[in-house]
Amino acid sequence: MHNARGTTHEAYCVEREALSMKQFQVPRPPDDALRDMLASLMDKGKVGGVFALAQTGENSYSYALITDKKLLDHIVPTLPLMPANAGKMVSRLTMLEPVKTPIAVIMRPCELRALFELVKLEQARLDNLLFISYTCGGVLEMKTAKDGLQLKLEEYWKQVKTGGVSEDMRDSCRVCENFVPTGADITLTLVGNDNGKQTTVQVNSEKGEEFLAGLSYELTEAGPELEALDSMRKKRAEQKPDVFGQFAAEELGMAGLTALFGRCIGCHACGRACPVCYCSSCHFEAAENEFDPSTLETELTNRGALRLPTGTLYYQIGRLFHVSISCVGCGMCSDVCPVDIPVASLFAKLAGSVQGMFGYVSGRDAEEKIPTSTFEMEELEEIGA
Amino acid sequence: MADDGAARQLDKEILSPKPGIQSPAEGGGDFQPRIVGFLCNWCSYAGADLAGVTRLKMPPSMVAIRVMCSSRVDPLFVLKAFLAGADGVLVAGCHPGDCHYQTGNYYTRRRFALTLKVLEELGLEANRVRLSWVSASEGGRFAEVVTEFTETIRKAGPNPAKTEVFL
Amino acid sequence: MAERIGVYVCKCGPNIGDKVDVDAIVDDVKGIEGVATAKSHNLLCSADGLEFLKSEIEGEKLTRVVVAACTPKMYEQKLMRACEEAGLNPFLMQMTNIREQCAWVTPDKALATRKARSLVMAAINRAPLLEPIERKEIEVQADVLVVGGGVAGLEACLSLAQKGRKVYLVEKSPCIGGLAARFEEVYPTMECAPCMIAPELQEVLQKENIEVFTHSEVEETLGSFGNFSVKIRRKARYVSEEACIGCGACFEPCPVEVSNEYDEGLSKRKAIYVPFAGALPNVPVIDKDNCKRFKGEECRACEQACPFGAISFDDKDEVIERKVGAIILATGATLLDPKALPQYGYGKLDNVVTALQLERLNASNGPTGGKVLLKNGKEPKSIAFVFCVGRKEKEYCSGICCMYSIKLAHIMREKLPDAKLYCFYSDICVPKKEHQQWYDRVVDQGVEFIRSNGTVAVTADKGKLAVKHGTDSSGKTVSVDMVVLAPAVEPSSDIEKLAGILDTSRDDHGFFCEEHALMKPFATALEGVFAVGSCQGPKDIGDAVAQAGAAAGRVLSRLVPGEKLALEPMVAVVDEDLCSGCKTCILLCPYSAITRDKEKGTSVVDEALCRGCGTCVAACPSGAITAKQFTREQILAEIKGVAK
Ligand code: SF4
Ligand code: SF4
Ligand code: SF4
Ligand code: FES
Repeated sequence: MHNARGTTHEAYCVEREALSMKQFQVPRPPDDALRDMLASLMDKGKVGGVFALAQTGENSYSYALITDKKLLDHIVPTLPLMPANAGKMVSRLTMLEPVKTPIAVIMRPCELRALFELVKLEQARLDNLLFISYTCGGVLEMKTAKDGLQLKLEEYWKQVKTGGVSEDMRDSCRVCENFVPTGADITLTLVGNDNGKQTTVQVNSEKGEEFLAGLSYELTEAGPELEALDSMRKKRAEQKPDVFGQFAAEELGMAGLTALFGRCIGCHACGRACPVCYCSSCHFEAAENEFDPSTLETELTNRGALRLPTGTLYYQIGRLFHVSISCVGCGMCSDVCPVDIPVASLFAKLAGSVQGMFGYVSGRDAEEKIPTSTFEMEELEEIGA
Repeated sequence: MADDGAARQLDKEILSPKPGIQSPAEGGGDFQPRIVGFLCNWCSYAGADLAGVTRLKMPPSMVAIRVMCSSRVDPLFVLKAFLAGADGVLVAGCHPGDCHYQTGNYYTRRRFALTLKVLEELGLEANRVRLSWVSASEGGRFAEVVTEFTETIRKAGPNPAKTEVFL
Repeated sequence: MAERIGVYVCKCGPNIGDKVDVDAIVDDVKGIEGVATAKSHNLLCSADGLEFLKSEIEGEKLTRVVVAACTPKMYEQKLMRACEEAGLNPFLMQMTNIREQCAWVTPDKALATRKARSLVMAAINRAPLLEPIERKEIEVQADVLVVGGGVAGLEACLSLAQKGRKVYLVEKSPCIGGLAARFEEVYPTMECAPCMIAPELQEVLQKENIEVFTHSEVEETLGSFGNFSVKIRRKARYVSEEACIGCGACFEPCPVEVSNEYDEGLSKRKAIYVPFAGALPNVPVIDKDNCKRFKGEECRACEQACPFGAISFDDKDEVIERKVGAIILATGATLLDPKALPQYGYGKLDNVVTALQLERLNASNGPTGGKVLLKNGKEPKSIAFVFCVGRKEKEYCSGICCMYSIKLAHIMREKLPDAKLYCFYSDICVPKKEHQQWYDRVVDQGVEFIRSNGTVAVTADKGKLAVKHGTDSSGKTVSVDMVVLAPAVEPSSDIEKLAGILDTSRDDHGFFCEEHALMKPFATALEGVFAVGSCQGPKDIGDAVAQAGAAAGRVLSRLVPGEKLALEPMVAVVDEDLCSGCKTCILLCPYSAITRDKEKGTSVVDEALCRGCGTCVAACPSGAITAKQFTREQILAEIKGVAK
């Protein structure tokens, strides 16, 4: 039943298929190439705006929706920072209604997958969005933005070019094997590319083709740089013992978990940052989860002491129940944790097992049903004796 | 709130039952597992009743909470009971295909696959949580499930969550 | 306000009294805050006991009652009534089972007492959280929509109309009567089918309270049990049902000839036609797809020929709205197209026909006036009937093909006394009281039965047909003039669309899914929507009619004009402030009871459809859905009562 490896392989095949043989090259670094491309899409009136990572000040980065072409200078779409999961941001934009004019959206594969997951949950609409993504080398921790970013970037891009893993990356990225976007209209193949000089652009859908029609580029029949992709996949798999090892079942247990979350201050920032934690009002913050006097007393009598804030494990395990089926392993939760608990590594590890049980990869396909909302009549015979 | 008072009172009671009521058999260190059992109204609760009607014997470890369908059991209930120190949690419903509400227990099954997987991966003694299918006619099976589950738990010992201090 | 809880522990004579120390429990819970009184009783369910309970509720001014006794499945309703009579909302009583699930299974009295005490504690813990529930009733529409005008649909219409209900019958073809109207004789009575159903057809067409929409389709249904609003598209017929007298003067002049689907393609019809002679209502229809006028040509032949001015090319589709309380689906079935199974040669070889085609050849209102003829106009001298065509592929036995094939063999025996008749079968399935004797009879009549176990292959053989059967080595061949296939019964083609419109589910084979195969074979999981006859699974005429009658009976007993419909009190309710609108619940609900409020983007439960299973409640991550009488708070309070 447990078939995590099989699933990864399957996902891998899907990804390979997601890459097309239609690609062209632009002799400019990716961000510049994108700015040019987007500017001309805006000129032609094909898109009314651009959603991308933007530099909003010195050491300040955030996602932005830009409709004034002059402000396109601000976008840094491939800069390896993720201040928020873009899937969640687009969900905010489209929760109530789809966007009316076409918008080009640039996001990373895990963000795209989060968005697709949110579409299944009615939290976002895809209409009028043109998706641009790229084979992703991972992101650095957000605090890198404060200082030393430039230094780390150099090493980062070197690794991307050769299909390596940079030490400074988020843990979740170090082990992420879903770094090839599925469902994008246009994909830049950053991995294996000399990104300082040139950009390889792939056209993955008819929609992508339509949008690009009229721009001057020449399609080649060359395929993507698979060697670097494979190398990256291999290198990342090698990181797993380092990142996941501490979460082996025998290391955890009641004692391991209380130790792991012993630092948790109960801010619930992890849930708030999580793209697939979508509830408008979090159940774990409901009054019914507060300890009433009688429970408090029992707890005290039982245990002789009480940790405050209460319900830490209840929250963390409960959140695993809720999101492990949809977690995309983006690493936001770890990144925002003020006390550096490696939440994402734990969640991503469990997500792999839970999703693997159903042959599911969250967000791989916007049409696929979330396994807990459907069933097969003949299955899981070992569950329920 | 009056019910708080009531609850407080009775929590104390449960924790330290009056000597008159405590069984001599469970005095000393003898471990009496305490199992919370969620039984679906149509099959498993009826099966439990049938076990009684046929006067089968089973350990007094499981206290039933009746729900209309096994699909009413939120995995968070299981977690709550587990963290509160229940030594075991049983969820029982109609056999797949026989749910009184057509498809309810198929969802239960998937949810429990997920729940068990999470507990297992967290090293949390997933064997303290069990999903069983018991039909209204399976009084004997019900008694067996309870007996066997109680045994498993007796072997596993008390739930460590009971005494873990800083949860 | 402080709750006043009354705790009553029943001794049930010796049943609980001897096994559990009831008085110890009573003493023990007395001190608990909120517990106003705790008492034991020897037999609470007796008249005496109920009176006692009532006087306690009134005397002690109780706001909650906890009863520890037998299983709630025995006397919960009785006790609830007693509460109600004493002026306490019956849902404010909490029962706990200390007999079946405690006293009777725990031999050790001390242990039993301890367990009983836990159960009572859990109930006391839960009691303050109980909420009063008002039993709701809704006004209902007693009128009914019947979809499909075959035998099952007709039966449903008539049963309902008899009792004065207004019935709307929607039939997609231009005439009613379904498949049966096209058979000559039906088993087991071997009577003339058109004669058998003619009175029913007449009655349906003439009854004032049955409105018949032929050549029509259901386009939309909204609402739920008791209050559906349906849209019916009446397709343009181009012939006025009022003006036409059915003289048929219009057929002759029509220049178009196409194959007649109502004769299974064995005859030709015009672009203006009635499906077969005697079809009711006897009003032709213009087949827009083939009529020259609708292809832009200047033809008015039929219009000119009609002596009554009944033809109007300007006729338009009409969408009619009706309000009904229940819907009976009786859309019937059709036969698998054997072209899908090339080994039988159907569609390629002459004189390989389906049973339905033979029915038409044999029918006096059919293309040959009832003569069974080969393509060359001659009578066949030998016929092979092949049973179970497609059974393996479909993975179900249609259950009627043996018998209708035997019937056809019998008819052929009488009609063509000298012909050699073979039946190739896999298993003979003739389970009803009159059927076996028909089998014996045709065997007596010299029809040869050959067990082929699905190995039959038909090929052309010098103007005849070679029927090979058996596995390769032992394969034998029989040479015949005609092969009659008995293909599997499958749901008619429009079932998918209809299921989509109604949002009702279908089984693996594509038939409408029944709520319960044995207890409710005629109902779907959607309250107030019934599926009867062959659209629910292959059936013969008798079974189809019986199901239709059962469904009509259900409607008559549940939907009574002027009476309100009592709703399930323990339903799910969505708190729209908490609902994130993720639709998870909508996907899960087995009864399609949840819809999305488009304006607010949140879910709403239809109380008329919800049956209170709680599937949605446990699935909602936001905790926005509450199951009445099984709220999260209540269940958690119970857990607290036992888990510590
Ligand atoms: S749980 Fe953490 S890693 Fe998983 S999707 Fe949410 S934020 Fe990303
Ligand atoms: S962000 Fe960190 S500290 Fe805050 S709730 Fe999550 S794990 Fe705990
Ligand atoms: S409780 Fe059951 S029947 Fe009612 S709305 Fe929820 S899923 Fe549907
Ligand atoms: S009613 Fe028993 S499992 Fe659903």
